[in-house]
Amino acid sequence: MLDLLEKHRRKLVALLLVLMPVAALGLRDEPGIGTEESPVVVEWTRGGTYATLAATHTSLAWIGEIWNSIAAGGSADEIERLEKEVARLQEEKSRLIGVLQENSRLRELVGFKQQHPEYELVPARVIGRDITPYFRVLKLRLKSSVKLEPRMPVVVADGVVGQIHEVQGHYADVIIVSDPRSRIDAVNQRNRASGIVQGLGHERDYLARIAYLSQKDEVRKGDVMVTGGMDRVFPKELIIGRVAEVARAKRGLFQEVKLEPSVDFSRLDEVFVITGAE
Amino acid sequence: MKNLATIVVGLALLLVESALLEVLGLTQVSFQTSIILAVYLGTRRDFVDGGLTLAALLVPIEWLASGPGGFHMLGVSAVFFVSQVARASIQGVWGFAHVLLAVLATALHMLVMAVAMLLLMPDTVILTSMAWSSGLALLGVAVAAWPVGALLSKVDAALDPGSQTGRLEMG
Repeated sequence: MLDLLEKHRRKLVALLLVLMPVAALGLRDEPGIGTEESPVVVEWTRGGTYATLAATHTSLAWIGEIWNSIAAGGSADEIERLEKEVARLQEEKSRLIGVLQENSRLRELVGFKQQHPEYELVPARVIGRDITPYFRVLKLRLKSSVKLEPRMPVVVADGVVGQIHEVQGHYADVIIVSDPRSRIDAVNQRNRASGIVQGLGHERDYLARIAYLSQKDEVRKGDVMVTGGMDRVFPKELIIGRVAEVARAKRGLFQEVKLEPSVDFSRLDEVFVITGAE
Repeated sequence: MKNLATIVVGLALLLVESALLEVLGLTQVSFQTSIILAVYLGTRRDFVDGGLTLAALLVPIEWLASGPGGFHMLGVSAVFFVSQVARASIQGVWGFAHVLLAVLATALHMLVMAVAMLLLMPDTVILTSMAWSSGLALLGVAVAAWPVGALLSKVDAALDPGSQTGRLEMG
């Protein structure tokens, strides 16, 4: 048996490298957002990988802070005592700015919570992103032990972030509004014209498009699009973004409309998952 | 031992990439570490060692890529096979030729993903996203290929000093 394995080991390795992706393709979920629950072994292994990712994220953020304080304190060179004093004050200032920024973010989140007391919100921290340029996925670490489900909405004070795609214990993947797999039922806040916000995965920005928006509906640049609630995923009236471009199609029933999401996805630290509503 | 070290360092690089992209606030760009790892293993290991090491990394790569199941993994496997073919005719020391190969491998990776998607998910918008992101994908790998390969070479050299002398084949 061992001789046989030894003799054919190249073929077996080649088969392994072909079968692993083929099996993953065969077992993949239907296109769209939300996946089946993983077996416990996978959940633990993946949870362990994400826990290491969270630790890596914390370390990198800490290194960034140290680097900033060193860069800020590197100019004084005359008197050693003053140098140390300046460096200490600058480090303190940098730390205070960080605390103030976090305070401001938390105040915004608390404001959002107060504006929407009807939602059950679970806070989460962003710990990573996907490692390809083709998708737009955030990786979250939950700050509580509430059990999440795929397709739960994720929001911040500025508006909709996206939907939970996969859950692994206290960790989750979120497909954001501009991912090409994202679909959100939306209405125009001004005239209630409805459409579907689809992510574009655009290279330079986070633009999305509004599909199925009838040619008869008047849409202007700057109009605010909010969740319509028909998809039974997002509650109604959460801001998704503003209309950035309107082009009436020469043919067909629908308009070509681009939407700029209201959330700045490059600066997300904390988010809320809506786990239920009263 | 060398392969185990490559798995550990490779996994660490993948995690650092994911966390670093978040810390820097980059979502459109990626350093394509998974493709560089496949090129490295394809050009610096024999088929069995490289293949088994890559197989151990494929699942975490798939988790961190967060795409629809299997497509990214399929592209990475294809990159490994092609790198093995290129192995005989590429310089021994990690350098410009490997960076060029990594850039070409990224184009191949996109092509494999696109063909698989056309066959299995023909109406997906991901194809458009891939077309838009292709330039940044190539740029990302061009920037990261040399440092990532150099780091992996250092790890190899530390564990197996004879491995970095270059392949001088006579006769």
